[in-house]
Amino acid sequence: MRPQLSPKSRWLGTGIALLTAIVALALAGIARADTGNTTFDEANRLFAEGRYADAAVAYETLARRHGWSAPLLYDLGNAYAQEGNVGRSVLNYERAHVLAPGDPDIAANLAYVRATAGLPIPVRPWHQTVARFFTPTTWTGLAVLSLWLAGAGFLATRRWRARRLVYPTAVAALVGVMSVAAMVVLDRDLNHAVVVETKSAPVRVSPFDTAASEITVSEGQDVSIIGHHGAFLRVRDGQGRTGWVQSTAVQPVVPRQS
Amino acid sequence: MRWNKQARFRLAAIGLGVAMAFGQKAAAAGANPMADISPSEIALDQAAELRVDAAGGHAPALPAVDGLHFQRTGRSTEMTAINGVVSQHTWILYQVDADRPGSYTIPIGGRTLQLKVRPAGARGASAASVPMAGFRPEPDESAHQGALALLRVVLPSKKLFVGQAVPVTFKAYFRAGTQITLTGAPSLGISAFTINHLQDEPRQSVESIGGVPYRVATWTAQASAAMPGHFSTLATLPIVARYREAARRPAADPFSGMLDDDMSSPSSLIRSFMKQSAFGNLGDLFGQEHQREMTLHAPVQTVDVLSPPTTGKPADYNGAVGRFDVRATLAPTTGTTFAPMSLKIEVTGPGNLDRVSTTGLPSSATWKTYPPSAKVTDRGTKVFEQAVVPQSGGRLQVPAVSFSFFDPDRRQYLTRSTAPISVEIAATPGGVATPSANLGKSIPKVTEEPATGLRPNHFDEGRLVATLLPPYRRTWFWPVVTVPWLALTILAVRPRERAASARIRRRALRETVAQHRMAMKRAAVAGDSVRFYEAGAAALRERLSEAWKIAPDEVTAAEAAARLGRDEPIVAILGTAERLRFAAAEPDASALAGLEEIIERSLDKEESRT
Repeated sequence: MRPQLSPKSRWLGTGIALLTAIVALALAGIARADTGNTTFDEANRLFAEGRYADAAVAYETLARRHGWSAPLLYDLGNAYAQEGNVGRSVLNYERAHVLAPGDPDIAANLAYVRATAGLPIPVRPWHQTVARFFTPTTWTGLAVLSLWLAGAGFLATRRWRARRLVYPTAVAALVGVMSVAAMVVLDRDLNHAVVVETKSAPVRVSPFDTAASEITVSEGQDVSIIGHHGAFLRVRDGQGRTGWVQSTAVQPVVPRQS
Repeated sequence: MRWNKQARFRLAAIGLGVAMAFGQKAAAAGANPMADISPSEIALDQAAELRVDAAGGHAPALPAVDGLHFQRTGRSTEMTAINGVVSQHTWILYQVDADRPGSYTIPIGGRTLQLKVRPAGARGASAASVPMAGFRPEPDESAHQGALALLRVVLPSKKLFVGQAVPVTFKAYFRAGTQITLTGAPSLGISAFTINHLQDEPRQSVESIGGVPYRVATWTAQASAAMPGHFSTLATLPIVARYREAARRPAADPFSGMLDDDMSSPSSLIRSFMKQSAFGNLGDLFGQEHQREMTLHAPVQTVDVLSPPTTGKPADYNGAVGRFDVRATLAPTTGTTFAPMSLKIEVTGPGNLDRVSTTGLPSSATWKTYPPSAKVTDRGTKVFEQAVVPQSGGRLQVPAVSFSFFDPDRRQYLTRSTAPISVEIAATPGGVATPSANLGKSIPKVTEEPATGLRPNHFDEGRLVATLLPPYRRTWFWPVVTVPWLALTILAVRPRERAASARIRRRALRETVAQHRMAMKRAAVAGDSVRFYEAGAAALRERLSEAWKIAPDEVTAAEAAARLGRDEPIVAILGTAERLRFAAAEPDASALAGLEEIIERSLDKEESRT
């Protein structure tokens, strides 16, 4: 005969199970991230010896095998910058910036490479600037946590008539909604951001190789995707000009398949 | 005797030719040393090799030196090809050993050679001295005279230490007139030994054994023992020999015909040397030609390999054996914080460089370091290059790097250290020097843009993520978020449902009990004792079944007595009701009012409890 559990005990058991699952997921993430520093050190050593091409290969290999991190992408950007590969340098700085938006070194080197290459510095509207204050992961975590708290507060106020939870619940709900809004803005921003990887790419008036090109985007330049057709992407540059470029000429800041 | 003009001219020409020949010989004698001895310093239990010029087939007579013994070990002919011109030089070889320590003078061929003999076991300045035990004299001429091919191994010592590198020489003798094809490299035949730096192509010379000229191929290599123990060499060399049986050939210059080849190439020289017979192909016309695959075996030698002592072993000792010096340099001579610099650690000296290793400068609060790379230069120096990154500005010092090794001559461990290097480090342009405590975890937190150049690399790998995609674009996200939400909602709704159903059940119970109470009151007024007991007992069963969590039919007088005690009035009421139900008796109706009060009180009491 199964023992009869009180509702309070069942709540406690459920909470413990959820907590265990979250902790297990977190531990799995930590275990996955703990890959040792040997290869990274080796890549840095190659960089320190001035073997930038070899260092870039080592960083790329490390990323392919173990995943990406802001320092790894930053160092990879440095290796490409030292090698003179502006496109990949900017691309990897941008990727590093996604993971560590507050890192001053990434911003400084990105600005330096752009200035050295004569690239325009992208001007972002205020809501994108705010959205880029945190990483997508941080915004997501903030949104989930806030909405969880708001939901729990709502249930508590309904069930136990806990009026003192009304304001915290409202604040949590507001933070949750704002976080979701930031997620949406950031997602639209990152989802469309690409960097020109080739030396220069003609921007054509229509998605055909024979179409005329009025402007050209340079290696390392940031553009946004606003449409696609076949092997062409419709892009908008920082000055609002639009046109079609070959999809092979650009690389997404956030790749679909990592 | 009168000479005619033509005869005088001929005589003058011959005289001029003879004079020129003697002049050339004299010039050659002046250009080449008449004798040399190697090494010039040996231990008493070792021997040196004396080479005496045998130009013209005659060697100068050996002097008698008190305390020294000379033993002829053979003849060596050297060929050299310089700018396509081949020259030949023949030496007579002697083994020299001494009776007692001291300095000896050997006057020979117009030169005076010096040989210093130190006591046995004493460490000398020369690393190339040859212990007498390992010095193999010329093969027994009587035993080997006429043999097609011979192999000898010269191992300089019969006692080695694990890891100690010693030179080893393989000498293969091939009788002149034999065509030899080498099908492999010489091997020492001891699995516990490793052979390094074995020459691809042997040095060649000509020596005479018992008056029979032999072509000699000589390989030099470095042998190193990998494990302690007592070993015997089983040196081998695989060859294919082609020779003619019963071919009679007069002595001839073994190098005739070689000038047909391009002598500027050493490999062609060796090929020609190996393939040419004394008479070239002329000998093919006579006798029967044979071809044999064979493996040459050298005489067995025994070697004792000892382990370095365990006492006195430094903590940083990692197997290096030899005698080394170590020095370090830093480039560039000035630096900038976080800008990598190159620390070069050079280990030089006689010994086994393959076992020389160092972890270099360890990371510290001042220097972030990386594992060094190593390479061996042509000069026999092992160079470790280590990237080091200064973590702060100012006058910094690269600490001394120590290196320990075992000296087999002294039989003790030694530790050498590099000199500390001072270097001026400027702060990062546009930034500030990072406090050492933040090394590897943070980056310079500066807001201004760098004036020039890229900011340095980050050294902490950071938290790795599998993808840059935000979590909400990954498949696991929505189940992870929504499933707990659903669970919470279900958990929140179910108690409410249960509460609602309990309320309904309680309400129904109240109504049922109220109906029974009403029937009981009506029966009391009417004096119908049977109906009174039935209604009262039914009300009690409904109410008590709720309180006791059992079915109403299970609420009996016995159950009530067990739970409440037999003195409880309702037990009697329930008992009377059961008797009426099964025995059809007529109860007394006079006390119904009192019983009604008891039942009402019990019902109220139970209702107030629930």
